[in-house]
Amino acid sequence: MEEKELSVKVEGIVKHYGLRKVLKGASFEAGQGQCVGIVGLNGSGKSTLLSILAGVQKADRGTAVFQGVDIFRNRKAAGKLIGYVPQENPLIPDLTVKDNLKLWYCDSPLDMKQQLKEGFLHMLGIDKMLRIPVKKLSGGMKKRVSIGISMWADPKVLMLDEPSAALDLVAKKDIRDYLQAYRNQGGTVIIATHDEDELNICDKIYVVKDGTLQETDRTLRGDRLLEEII
Amino acid sequence: MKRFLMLQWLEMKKYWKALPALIPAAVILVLVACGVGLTGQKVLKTMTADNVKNLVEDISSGQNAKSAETGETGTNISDSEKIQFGIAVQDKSKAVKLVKKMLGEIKSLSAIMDVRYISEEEGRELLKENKLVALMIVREKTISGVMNGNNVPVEIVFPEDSGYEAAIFKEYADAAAGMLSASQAAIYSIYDFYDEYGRSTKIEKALDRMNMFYIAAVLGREDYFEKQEVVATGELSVVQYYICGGIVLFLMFFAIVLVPLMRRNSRDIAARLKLADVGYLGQVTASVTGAFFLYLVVGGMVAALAAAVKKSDFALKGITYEQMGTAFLMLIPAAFLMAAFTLFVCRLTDHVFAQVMILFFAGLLQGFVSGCFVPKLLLPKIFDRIAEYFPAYYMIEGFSCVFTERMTEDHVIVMLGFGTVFLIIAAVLERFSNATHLGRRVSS
Repeated sequence: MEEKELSVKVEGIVKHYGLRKVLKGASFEAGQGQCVGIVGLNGSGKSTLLSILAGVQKADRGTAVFQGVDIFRNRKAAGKLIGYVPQENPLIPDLTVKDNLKLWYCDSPLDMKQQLKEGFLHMLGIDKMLRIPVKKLSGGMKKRVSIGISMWADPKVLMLDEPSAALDLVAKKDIRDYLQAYRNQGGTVIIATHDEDELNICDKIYVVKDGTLQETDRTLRGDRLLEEII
Repeated sequence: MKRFLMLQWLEMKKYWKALPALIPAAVILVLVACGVGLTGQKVLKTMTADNVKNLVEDISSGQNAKSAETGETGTNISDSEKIQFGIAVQDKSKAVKLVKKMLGEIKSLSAIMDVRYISEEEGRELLKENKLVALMIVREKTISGVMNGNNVPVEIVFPEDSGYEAAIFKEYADAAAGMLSASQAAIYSIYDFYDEYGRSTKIEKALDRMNMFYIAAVLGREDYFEKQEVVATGELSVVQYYICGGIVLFLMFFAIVLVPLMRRNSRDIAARLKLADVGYLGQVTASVTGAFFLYLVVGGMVAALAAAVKKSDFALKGITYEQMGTAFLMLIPAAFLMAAFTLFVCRLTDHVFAQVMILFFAGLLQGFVSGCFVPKLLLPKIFDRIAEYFPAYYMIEGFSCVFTERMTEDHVIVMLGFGTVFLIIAAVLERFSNATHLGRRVSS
């Protein structure tokens, strides 16, 4: 892969929780329009890595360059460069879907109404649930809204932490289709997942093991992938 | 900035939408506050000034004629239950006899108080043994001082932990002092009158006559305490006092129903908002704005209800519309203070039960110490000093000003100051909580 095509370059991320060292120098790369899958056991550090890259947590050491921007030194630019969908949906439950969208799209380069009419918010099916309070949405609906909200700044990189957890088959497929479409438009996708179906859309798969990331064969599935992880 | 304003707007919308669900809780709280007021009023009637007033009414209407003959009092106060107070007279003037005679003839006083003429030393000993509720020391030349304007003060000594009996006595003494001052002023005005019409030379001669009239008029007025209403609620009437206390109790306990709305946003939202230029202070400010807005809406509804009640002549006859309006204005700093305090408690701990308990006991403690249940005058002095550190004290003082019409900005400033401090601490707690949760406090 040529340097100019490189969208994401993460090097030597170290993170401690108290005395426990969760990440011991995690590194990976992703090209523009690529999808990178990160797999690992529970508590291996997948979510920690994504939240560090999203600016929610701070790394103890390491660098991360997204689209040529050092995101640890330029947090505000990173906030607009990266869309992040955490495991816990980042929504305000007492507000409606529309109000949640308004909070983010009030200062967005994108036109919310336009996106609801024919853009990705429409594609995610959010236009049909605008008046429903978030607390009354199903898990799949909340995940769609979370993805919709993460796109407010028209980001170049989308990171999702276990996006299909507890979703039905239709919701999973819809989200996969959306991610595929996002990639086709040149967006880079990073997914932390346990779901093998999601790995099918990945160009690269990294296994988190002993606090580091190791690239593995993207075709590995089932017991062979499990062996790699363990 | 745009996102901060949007967050504020959405918070207000969130609270507004919750209003229908909160109204039943608000109604219950209003009823509780009214209940406290009515109970307190009843307690006051039984314990203090109204007791005296009723007693006086009984005496003046002749209902006590029989009991007077038998030496009993109309309210069945036995000799052992009477308030004991002592007078140490050091003044040797002849007028002292008149004073003693006057005190002895005031039936309303003798019905509830035992006056003992003792030496200062003996009086102080009895005070230490809690056998007296107050000792009045009349120094030499006190009576003549009242007449000639030198005003040698009468010293009143209360025990360390003076109870409501001492408070009653203090009120009596203050009322009497006020009357004496008025009488003195009358004499001085006549003095000025003589002077203005060039009759200064006649003053010396007239002074003796005036003093004689003065003594006859003042000391002979046995019915003074029948006309003077003495209340333990200071300058406010009992109803006004409990309106103030009720408002403050309502504000403090309404905070409990706000707890579910003041839930912390998910850490991811907090962090993402921070990256999108809405820091922790901005986030807690938005939340406080929502609660503040709700307080004003509910306060406005209660004020409208009170105005409707007044218009129907059902109650609140002693309260003017202007006072209602001023009370609503006073609600602005008080609502901000309570909104910030509630948020502070909700950021102190994430456990809903703990939040509710803290708000309940904080309300109860502050309400009691600040005099929402029982007037401060009837509480030990130490409570008054402690209360000054609590926001409720300034709220009740602020609302009291509405009725005394001596509005100052001091209480408003203190309330806003308390609110700002709670807001800032809440922001710090928010930041600290997120940092701890997300493992920023690395100790390796």
